[in-house]
This record gives sequence, C-alpha cells and structure tokens, in this order.
Amino acid sequence: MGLEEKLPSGFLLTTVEKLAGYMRKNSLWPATFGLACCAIEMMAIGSAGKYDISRFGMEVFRASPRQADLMIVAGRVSNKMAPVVRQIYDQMAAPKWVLSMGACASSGGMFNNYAIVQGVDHIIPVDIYLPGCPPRPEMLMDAILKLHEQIGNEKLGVNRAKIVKEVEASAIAATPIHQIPVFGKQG
Amino acid sequence: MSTFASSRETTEGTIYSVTGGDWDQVASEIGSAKEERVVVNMGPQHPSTHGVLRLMLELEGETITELRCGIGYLHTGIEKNTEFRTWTQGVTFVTRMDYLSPLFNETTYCLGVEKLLGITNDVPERASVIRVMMMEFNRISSHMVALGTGALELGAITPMFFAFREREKVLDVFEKVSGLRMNMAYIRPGGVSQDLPEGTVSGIRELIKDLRKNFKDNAKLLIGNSIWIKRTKGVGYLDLAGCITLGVTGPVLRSTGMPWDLRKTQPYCGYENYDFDVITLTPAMSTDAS
Amino acid sequence: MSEQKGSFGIQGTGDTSGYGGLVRSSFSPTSAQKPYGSYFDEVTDELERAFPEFNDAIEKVVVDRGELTLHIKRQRLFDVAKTLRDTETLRFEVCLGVSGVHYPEDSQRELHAVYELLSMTHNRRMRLEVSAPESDPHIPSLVEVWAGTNWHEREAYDMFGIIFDGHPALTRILMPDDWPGHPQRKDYPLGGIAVEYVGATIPSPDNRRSYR
Repeated sequence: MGLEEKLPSGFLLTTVEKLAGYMRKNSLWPATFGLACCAIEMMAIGSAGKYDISRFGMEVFRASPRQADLMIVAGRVSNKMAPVVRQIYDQMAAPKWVLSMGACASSGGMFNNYAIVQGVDHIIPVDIYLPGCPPRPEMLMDAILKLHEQIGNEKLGVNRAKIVKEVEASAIAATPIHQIPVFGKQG
Repeated sequence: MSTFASSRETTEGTIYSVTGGDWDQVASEIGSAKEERVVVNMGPQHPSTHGVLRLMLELEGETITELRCGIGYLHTGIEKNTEFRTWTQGVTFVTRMDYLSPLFNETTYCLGVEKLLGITNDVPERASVIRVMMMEFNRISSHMVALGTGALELGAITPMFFAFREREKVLDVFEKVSGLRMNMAYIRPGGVSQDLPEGTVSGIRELIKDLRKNFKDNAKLLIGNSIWIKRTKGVGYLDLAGCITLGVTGPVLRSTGMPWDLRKTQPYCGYENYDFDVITLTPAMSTDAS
Repeated sequence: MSEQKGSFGIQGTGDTSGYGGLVRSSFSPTSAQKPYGSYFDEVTDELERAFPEFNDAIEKVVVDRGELTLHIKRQRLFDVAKTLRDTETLRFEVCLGVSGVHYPEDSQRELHAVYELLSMTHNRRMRLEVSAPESDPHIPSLVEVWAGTNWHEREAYDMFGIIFDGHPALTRILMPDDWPGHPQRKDYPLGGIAVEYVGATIPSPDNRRSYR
C-alpha cells in the first residue's frame, strides 16, 4: 500500500520523485506540539496577519498526530515529556518530518541540566534545526521553506536507499566535532 | 488489516487501547460492560493544550465526573540553573518561567534582588516608569493570547486572529525598546538595561489610539456572540472562599467581587502614583474571569 | 556564619575573573528584639494572646528588610497556622505557597519549609519558617488549614525530600514518578552534559569551576 512500495526505477523514478515531492511539500500539515515559549511564536505564525502560513497550506494544525506530516517541536522537552514526544512521533504516519524549533529543542538551549533533554534529536530523528530563543516567525518561515525545498528534492525507492547508505557511511567515518583540528593543530 | 481496539483485564478494570478508526467497536464493548464510568487519559499533547497538561478524566457518558491534573511536563530546573549564575544572568532564566509575561517575571525578580541589596530607593524614577509601561504592555499582550486561545478552544477561530493582530503591534513596541519580541531580559536589577530609543513615546501614543479602537471591536466580537456567552456563563464556578483557601489571586479572585489588586493594596514600582480602577465582577463565573 | 572566599569558590589557579580576592560572609539573620516596628509588634502580640504556648513554639522572630519571619518548631506548626488563620485580629487567610530550602551546613536543621502568608483583611504579610533534619525530614502538612498548599507540599517533597505528615497524596509532581533523588538539594548535581564545539568540549556549569 502506498507510494513507496510501487516505485519504478531510473528515469521514471525521477519523475515520480519530483511529483511526489511537489505534492508533499505544498500541503504539509503540522501537528500541534507546542511546549513552551516557541509555541507562542508558532501560534503567531499561524494566526497573526503578517506571518500567515496558510499561504503554504499549513495553517491547519492537526490535533491528532495520525493526520499530520510535520512535527514542529516548539519548546523545551523535559525528561518527563520525552516518552510522550516519542509516542507522538511514532503515531505519525510516514512520510513524516520533524522541525526542531528553537534552541531548547535543538540542543537543550540555555537549560543544560537534569530536567531537560539536550536536544530532541536524542529521541527522534530531526530533519531541520532552527536556532533562536524564540525564533522570530520570519525565521520559522525560513526554516519551513528550506524544509519544503528538502522535501521537494527527496529521493524515493532505490535512490533513497542508496543515499541512506552513503549518509550512514560518512557519518560513521567522520571525526567527532570536538576532535576536529582547529588552526591546523590536532585538537 | 489494522489492529482494532484491544482490551485487557487488569486489577483496575478493563483497559482499552484505541488505535483509531475503531470507535464503534470500543463504544459497543464499553456499553456491554457493567461499569458505566470510563477513565480517559487526555495526555500531555492534545489540541487544547497550549503547553502541556495531562488530564485524567472520569467520564460518565459525556459528563466529566472527576478530573485530575498531571503536571510537571515542563519542569525546567531553572532554580537550580540560577545557582550557577550571577544575579544579572539570573534575569535571563527567570524571564522564561512564564513566557507569556516575561517582563513581570523579571520585575518580580529584580525587585527582590534590589530589596536584598537595599537599593530599592536608588532605582531611578525613569526606570520605574519604564518598567510600569512595559509591564502594562505585557499585560495587554498576555491577555490577548488568553482571550484568543480561550476562544479557540470553544471553536471561535476569528477572535484569535484579531487578538494576535493586536499582540503583534505590542510586540513591535517591545522589539523597538528592548530588541526582542519575547523573553527580553530587559528589566535588570537596578533599573532597565537601556533607555527608550527616540520616537518610542510618540509611537506608543499613536499605538494606544489604535489599540483602543480595536479592543472595542474585539470585545464586541466575543461578548456579542451568544454562543460564547452561553458556553462560559455558569461554567467554572469558584467562589470567594474557594479562591482564598486555594491561594488564588489575580483576575479569578477579582471575578468573585473581591477588589484585591496588589498594585493598589501594596504598590510597587511607583504604582501608587497612577490612577486606574480595579475591575471586579460578580458573580464568579468563567466569563467574568476572562 | 560561614565565610566564602572568591566569587565562585575558586582555590588556586583557574579563575581568571579577577574576583578571586573577594571575601563574602554569608548572612544568617539573628533574632530581633522588641519593638519590631510597623505592624509586626501587633502580629506577634496578637499571636501570643491567641496562642498561649507562644514562647514554647516560636524559636526565633526575624525582622529583616521590612519583612517578618517567625521560625517555628515543626511539632507546633499546625496549631500556630490554624491560629493565624482563624484569629480575628490576625486573619492570614491566604497562603501563597510552601517553598523548600536546603542548608547543608546547618546540621540537624538542613531542610526548611517556608510558608508565605497574606492577610487580605488587614493587608499584611508574614512568613513562617520550619526546619527539619535530613535524617528525619517530617513536617506536619497544612493542607487542612490552607487547601492550596496541597500541590506546593508535593513540590517541596519532590524537590527536597521533605515528607509532609497528613498530606492526602504525597507523590512526585514535577519529576517523573520514578525519579531517584531530590533535585533541588544542594548536593544534587546540576546534571548537564558537556557542550561540544569544533575542537573542544566545554563542561557543564557545575563541572567547570567550583561555584559555591
């Protein structure tokens, strides 16, 4: 069932990818996952006149994650909330994307302590990170548009499997960030 | 194909796991069971939460007979973080405690620090006046969110757009004065971080004229809506004794008729020099609190 | 009265802030002598009148920066609280919450619970402070006096480990139900992780320098 299982390959696949990408990105439905301050900016982008995201077809924040494509994790994720985040993510149907909004969701932000998960990517795979505390609605819109580009160019089927393997191999072979030599000296 | 609702017996009774698309089956199974009361977990993420609140409801048919709140999903450990920061850096943490009214958090914290330092009388008067002005704007923006989202829960979507439109205007003022729309860390121990830039005061005077007009329209949108009135009148009754024993102050207490406003009774930041009314309403209903 | 040297407790090298020469003495408020000033005398006199075992129950009266704090023995807390609420001339009807405090160096009195009281009838404020040792952290619950202290006491239990006797349902409220330890105690670590930058990691605040 679904697009992913009935894909052709080669030239036809590229066409299908372009079409599917175009369709998916232009009607991305977010799931309401506002946790803290960033949620207010997310509400502002949804309902204030200047920053209207319904021009992208996204003003329908779905209450149920089963009907949503995009999870905008807006706000700090506490350790008590972490299993809930994971459960909501699991309840979303593929294809799904995650936008980690704000410093707290991306990396724990200013709260480097016992109560906050240091980046929601410890729990769920994130497609695009958005810094800010809180990010302005224009910044959120920029992130959403970049995500749209990413979705529009997403590969499917065999192409996707190839890319996934390449990305994983390069990630395994990469030096950890804190060991990258700075100024030519070994760190 | 998809798994339908499965049920299992536990010491607490039967637990139904609902996966979607199977409500009819669940309803018929519950109907045939002997108990009529169902406990529903309205988990931390659901459409009404702007923020996270877990509600455990005991339902009898469609009426909620008992309700318990589970909180703590946003516990951030701010207090412990501030143990490792200077007093000025503490402002940036405190401002994020109640993110809809950051300036109030900052003022409370700064007044406390100033009291500890003994410099309450050395805070410049201009700084106090600026604090009051920013706080009152914050009050406006926070109330706009409250009204807008409150109406949104009941299904009234348009007031939310209007409320957020006014809020954007107020946030523009914040941005002009402090540089940020939210979580500004503008009010610091000893005063404010910087003086008002040029043109702020005249801009604010224009804005207030604009806001006054729009508030009338926004209020008419809600109060003139009989559905909103019917759904909020008589709901959420908390009388004076209830408020006092629970330690509830603020608009909810004033809606019982008690004119308790800290700005009048124990003024701070020079509030005793301002002329304003304390708004109360009787009887105590959720309409009045909002 | 403990002395603290250096702004963040640095000994030896490591501190480049320039605050290393700072000597701060920490402040423990001493018992105030009558007359206390403003409405505090009235409050204490009325309380003495209404509560006969006043001298037995009150350990210390502290008047500092225009605020009144009564340090009370924990066994008498419930009676004192009820008297404060019910006596006509006192009428502290609102309790604004219970805060926990942890003083690790105050042996046998490490855990304090602080109650903020507000009297709307008389427009007054005061504070009650109770202490308990870490080995026996029991304090009577005031839920029957002021219902709002229910959740505040749960929070004090969760964050400090103060067990309130008589509380209807003393469970963790902020942390997950099975969390070990009591986070806001001074000996509980901040718990952050080292932050990774290109070429280096910066340890979390409680590991960077010894902040005291």
